[in-house]
Amino acid sequence: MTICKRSGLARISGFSLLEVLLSLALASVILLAASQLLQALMQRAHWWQLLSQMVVTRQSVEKSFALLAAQVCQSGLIMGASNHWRWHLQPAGSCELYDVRLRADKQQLQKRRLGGRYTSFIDSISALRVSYGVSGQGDCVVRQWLPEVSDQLAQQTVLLRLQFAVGVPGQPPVYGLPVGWHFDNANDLAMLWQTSELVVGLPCTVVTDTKQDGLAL
Amino acid sequence: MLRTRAQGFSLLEVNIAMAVLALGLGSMMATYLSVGYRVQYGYQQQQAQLVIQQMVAVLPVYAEQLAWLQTQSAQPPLADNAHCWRGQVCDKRQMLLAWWVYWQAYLAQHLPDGHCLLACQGPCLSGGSLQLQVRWHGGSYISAACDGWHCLTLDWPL
Repeated sequence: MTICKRSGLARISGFSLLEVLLSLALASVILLAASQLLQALMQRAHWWQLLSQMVVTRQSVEKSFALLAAQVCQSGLIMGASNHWRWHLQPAGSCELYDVRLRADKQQLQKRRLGGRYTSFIDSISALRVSYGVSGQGDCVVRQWLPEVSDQLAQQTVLLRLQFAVGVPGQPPVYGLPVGWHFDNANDLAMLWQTSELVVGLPCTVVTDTKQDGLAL
Repeated sequence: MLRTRAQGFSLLEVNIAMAVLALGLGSMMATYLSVGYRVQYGYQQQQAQLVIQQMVAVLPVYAEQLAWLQTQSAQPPLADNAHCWRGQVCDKRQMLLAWWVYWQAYLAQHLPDGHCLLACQGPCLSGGSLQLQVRWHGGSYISAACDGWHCLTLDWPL
């Protein structure tokens, strides 16, 4: 700002109204763009945080399953249904019967020693679907996948295929979810779910003197 | 004579300040993107691991058929054999092929250009070595280890 003296009159020359308005408009545009950018960055950062959380949760679920599967003993499976099964486990010393089931309302996988009480060993799990890989003629090779197995077929079950969803609390990003993810807002708890899958090998002894069936290659 | 001198920043000073500001913002964005790519890469690696873990559980069951699978996998398209998942009795080769097609479909769906390769070091028989590799394309921020592809490899004695 400058002060001019002309003919004894002092005149202050500053910014005109137009200049001020233009400057304000420009500042608004810059602020708006910056806030949009910041919002996008924050959303992306939030999504990355959820993604990391899901990776860790999924790993811990898989680890828990793997630890349990490592304790399977004797003939392994005794009975199998769509979301619960009974098998032999050896957590400490002796081989005992254990039940494993999905408690859908609590989103927990629970286990119990036969006759005991169920306790949770995996949380944030849902939509469990178990398939049983049954071998044909005692050669420990899966020929058939069944949704449930009776006592007899359970003895011939070689692989357990577990398909399930792992969840973390959170909101979906505005730009959509990746393949295999879904959002569930039931029970006033916003959860993001990702489908996952595990294959567990069960103890199997090849019966050498069994006659091979026509499908054997 | 009164000499007036403008009290302000010179053009050079303003340019230097702008350059410093741009560098600062640029490095912040680079760090941000780098973190993002690493998170994304970690997620992709986990998807690949999921398939590798299944392979490790399933393939020993069909160890005798791996040599056959290797020749088949080099000649797509492969038969779907989806009926093998629906309770029907399938022979070893049909079942192994059903798994292989399932893994390929899973990888193609969950990873950019995702697919898996099977290679035997020597004969695909007991005593030999089997190499399983899951490959996919990712961001260029993280260097790709396998001929321009991101990969997860498992060498496995037969």
